[in-house]
Amino acid sequence: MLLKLLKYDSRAMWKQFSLIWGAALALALVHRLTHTLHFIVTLGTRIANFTNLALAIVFVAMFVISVMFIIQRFSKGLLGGEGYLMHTLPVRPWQLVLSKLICAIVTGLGSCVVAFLSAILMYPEDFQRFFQSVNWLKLFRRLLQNLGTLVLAAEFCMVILSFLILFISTIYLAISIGHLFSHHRRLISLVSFIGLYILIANIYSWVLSYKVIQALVDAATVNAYGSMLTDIAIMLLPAAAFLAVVCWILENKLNLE
Amino acid sequence: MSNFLIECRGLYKTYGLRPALSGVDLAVGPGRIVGLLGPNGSGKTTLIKLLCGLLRPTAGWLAVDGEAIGPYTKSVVSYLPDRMYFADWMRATDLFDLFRDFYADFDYEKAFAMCRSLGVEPHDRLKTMSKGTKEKVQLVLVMARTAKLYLLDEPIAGVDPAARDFILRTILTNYNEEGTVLISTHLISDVEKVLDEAIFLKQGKIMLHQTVDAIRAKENKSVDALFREIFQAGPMFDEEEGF
Repeated sequence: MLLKLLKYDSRAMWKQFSLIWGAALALALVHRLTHTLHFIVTLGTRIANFTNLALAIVFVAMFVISVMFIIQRFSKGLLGGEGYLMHTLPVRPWQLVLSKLICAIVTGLGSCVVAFLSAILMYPEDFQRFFQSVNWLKLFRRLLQNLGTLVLAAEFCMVILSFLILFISTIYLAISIGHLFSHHRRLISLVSFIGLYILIANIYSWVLSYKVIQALVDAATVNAYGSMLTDIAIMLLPAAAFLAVVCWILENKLNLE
Repeated sequence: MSNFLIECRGLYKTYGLRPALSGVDLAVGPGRIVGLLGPNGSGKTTLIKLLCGLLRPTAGWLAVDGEAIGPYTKSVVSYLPDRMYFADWMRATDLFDLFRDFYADFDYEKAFAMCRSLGVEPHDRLKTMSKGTKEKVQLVLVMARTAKLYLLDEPIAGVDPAARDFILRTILTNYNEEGTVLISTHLISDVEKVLDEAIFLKQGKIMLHQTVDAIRAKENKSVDALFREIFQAGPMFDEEEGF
């Protein structure tokens, strides 16, 4: 059932983001092409200036739309009109939340990838020369000989993923808290979002005030590997708690009026 | 296993301090067309939302097809809400795909056939459709299922008398006859002719639950006339004793 929900949610995501991702990549390509227009320098510069601005707008728009999408897919999809459809499907609330979460993560990562690709496309460098200048075989061989680097890279990716999960689950819980009230739901959600981050900081400072816990954290963070794993745990623990509360609210306190 | 499709015992639902349902006891068998009748704010929508799992009761016990409300009961209930639940980006065919994925009893071919007979183009975007056409799509989604329980929340509210007949005819020609249809409405005269049973709901309490034939025989009047008598002329009986 989760896969079926994901199919539906990713279709909704694709309808919205195929256009914005496509626009970002297309503008990056236009920008790159304008740098090759040496024979009409003035026009080329003007177009390049325009595409620089347009690309900056697309990046900002992509970030804003990604956050708006995450908020809307949850608030409209589960707590708004669409909730009449989603909550009457033969699935559990946690499946609905997990599907939305996975889709939101893919959206966030997808936007990051598109932004990265756009920057590469914009870079006025000869790709062929760039790829030929690196000895890829040697690079891969060295990476495989030094597995620690790969583990660090994987941990770094996990840190980014954990940050994203915590960010999204905080948004979900803030919206769910707002849903418990009959008036000023958006304002309460916004205040809750800020309040939840303050809560996390206070809880951790309280927990770390215990010497035993502090000693454990110190032992775990003696090197980069341990530090990143600790960061991952520090972010995933509250995220899991937040998601559990979201599921409880959807199961017991849903009111689509 | 119970013989009833819907069973409620001592069902309470409150919104904050305001009670919406107060001690509802109800049992409805399969193969019936039941009218859930009452004025606005009597608790009809709340009862339907509890049955389809959109709300949790504050107290009491509730079962559909012998099971507590959950994924199983949702798989056998076909629910028509009193509002639109579409996302803007969708076409009717996207919804048909979704229903086929989630409901084993959804008949894809029947949905297309119903669209043709109702004059709906299923490949059109929903946001380009008129309100009436969207309502037809929603009706198609509900009636193209062979559900055990159809919960229709105000299906004929806000439409002209000709459209009411049209909607009722669509429901009657497409529902699963072994299943039960629960229609909530305050437009009694329009639905009376198709009902097997009537439930009168007032201020969250069931005032009457009888077959339409029994009402006519006992009261010597139509359900509509009795409804008007109860809900417009003030209380005609002691609430403690019931009807």
